[in-house]
Amino acid sequence: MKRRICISKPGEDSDAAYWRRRYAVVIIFLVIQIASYYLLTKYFE
Amino acid sequence: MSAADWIVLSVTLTGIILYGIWRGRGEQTTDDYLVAGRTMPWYAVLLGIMATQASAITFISAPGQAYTDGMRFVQYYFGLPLAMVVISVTFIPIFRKQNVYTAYEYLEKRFDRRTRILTSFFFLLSRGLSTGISIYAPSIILSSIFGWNIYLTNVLIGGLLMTYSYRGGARAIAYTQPLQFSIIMCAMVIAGITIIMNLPPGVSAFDAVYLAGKAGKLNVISTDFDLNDKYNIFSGLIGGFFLALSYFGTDQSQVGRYLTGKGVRESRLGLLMNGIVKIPMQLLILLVGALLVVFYSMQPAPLFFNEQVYNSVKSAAPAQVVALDNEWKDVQDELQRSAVAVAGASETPATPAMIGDYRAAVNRAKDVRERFATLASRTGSVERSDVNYIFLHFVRTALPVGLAGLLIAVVFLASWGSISAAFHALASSSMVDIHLLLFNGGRTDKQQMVIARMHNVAWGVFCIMIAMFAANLGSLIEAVNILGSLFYGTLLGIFLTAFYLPRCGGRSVFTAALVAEVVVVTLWILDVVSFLWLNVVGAGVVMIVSMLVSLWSGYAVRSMRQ
Repeated sequence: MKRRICISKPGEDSDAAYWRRRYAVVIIFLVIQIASYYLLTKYFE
Repeated sequence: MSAADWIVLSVTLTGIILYGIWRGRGEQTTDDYLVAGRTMPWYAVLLGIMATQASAITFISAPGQAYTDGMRFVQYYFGLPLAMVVISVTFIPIFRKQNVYTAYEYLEKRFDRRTRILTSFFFLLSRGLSTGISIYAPSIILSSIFGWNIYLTNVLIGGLLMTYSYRGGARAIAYTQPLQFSIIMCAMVIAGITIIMNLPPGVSAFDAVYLAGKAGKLNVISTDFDLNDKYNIFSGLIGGFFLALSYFGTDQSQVGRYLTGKGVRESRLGLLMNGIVKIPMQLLILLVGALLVVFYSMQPAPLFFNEQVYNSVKSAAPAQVVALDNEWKDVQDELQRSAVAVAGASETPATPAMIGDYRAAVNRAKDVRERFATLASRTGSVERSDVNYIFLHFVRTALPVGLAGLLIAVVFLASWGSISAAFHALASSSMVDIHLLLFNGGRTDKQQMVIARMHNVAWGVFCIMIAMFAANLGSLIEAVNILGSLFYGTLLGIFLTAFYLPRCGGRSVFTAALVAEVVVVTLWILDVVSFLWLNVVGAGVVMIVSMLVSLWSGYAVRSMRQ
């Protein structure tokens, strides 16, 4: 059976959960970028 | 420029103009002219947002910024993705629900008319001034290539862009921006590849990046906390967040772009995708500048990249320039020798002595260039910085036939996208938020179109006049951001008070906005904090003073009743 990760809150509609997932993607991508740029700076300095 | 460059330049520009005219054809209503009928898909919203933000300054000045100061400028964009999330959650649903043409229309519904007029006045002042600076950027290119008078070139460029936005309105802008932006990004990638291909045989792309790191130009992240340091991770995340929130949430040139989306979903997706792609895009542009450091470590570089200033200083102080030129030749030899030694050793670790030699040569080169800039300043030169000419010099002298024409077309397209959107936003706001409020009876749609176009012309003339004074501002990309930071904090504070402090009314926020603007300008004049923090201060002062004034007036009312 196919399972989906759902980060919606109890009682929240699916549209709100859809947007919450997209917001999470933007923030996680930012964190990954900062971490990799930090490593890049340290590696090449 | 060669004939092939001219053909590429003319075909690219003519093609875009014809496409814009074709998409913007037909009878337009005010809704079409101001928000493109609210019909755009999310990817058009995204590319419109990016093309509006990325002006010619981004492509001329950012590589020069990395050349002189390294890539740490990218930290300035770290707050942007967070701001995109906040705008998607709060700002977009409110603007869409109210069905407004400009962001400031909402403020009249929430507060009162004078708050709306004050806010749009702040916007018009800051955007009008920075658009003037943006006109100066493409003018530099034309005057530098053809030796044209810079003032007449400002009139020519500003006049052409004003005519374009006068004719086409939001629809022409929204349809041409995606095309312009796609061409721009392809050309920047090609420029980066060309730098690497033009390095001496045996020096690979990795060697070039390694050398850029050793020259101190890959300083992407700086973790030292210092309020006076312009670019570190803290000012980038916090100050950059407030600046991006102000710019995308309250500046009509951006609000006007995402209001063209079909609905809330399209506007949100456009903004969120901007939050994902903006930092990597800016990093790539800065990397081009960092690679130019390596390129000019191994190839002959001029002492000062602005030829006109160099020649005028040389005629004013010939003996000192000759002495600096001789020193510069020695530095170039030293740079080339030490760079080749470090690059050759990159597969096996370069010895500390090799790296030390290269760093010493880089620092000596910086010192000689700074001494020339000081000399230029002493001889009365208006432009004391050549940061805006570094990438341009590379385009003119190192790119193969045809590609130089494409890169110059790119700079025009970038100016075109951002300046036409800015003219349009200025005209929309001054018409809807000031002219129609103060002078309107019930005007017809046709009359409103005529007024919108007249405002377009007036702002075009104003911005051209500002461009005449932009020569002595140094790095244009910094000048534009500093100017924005002087007003954006206050603008943001007004909107945040509107959204999150329901008890505060028009009188309290109006007073707070005036107080905040005085505080921000005073801090800037006294040079107390770096400019990114001014956004935080402005927004904070508006919210705190609004709360205090509304608490005090509530207390005063209660006291009078007792």
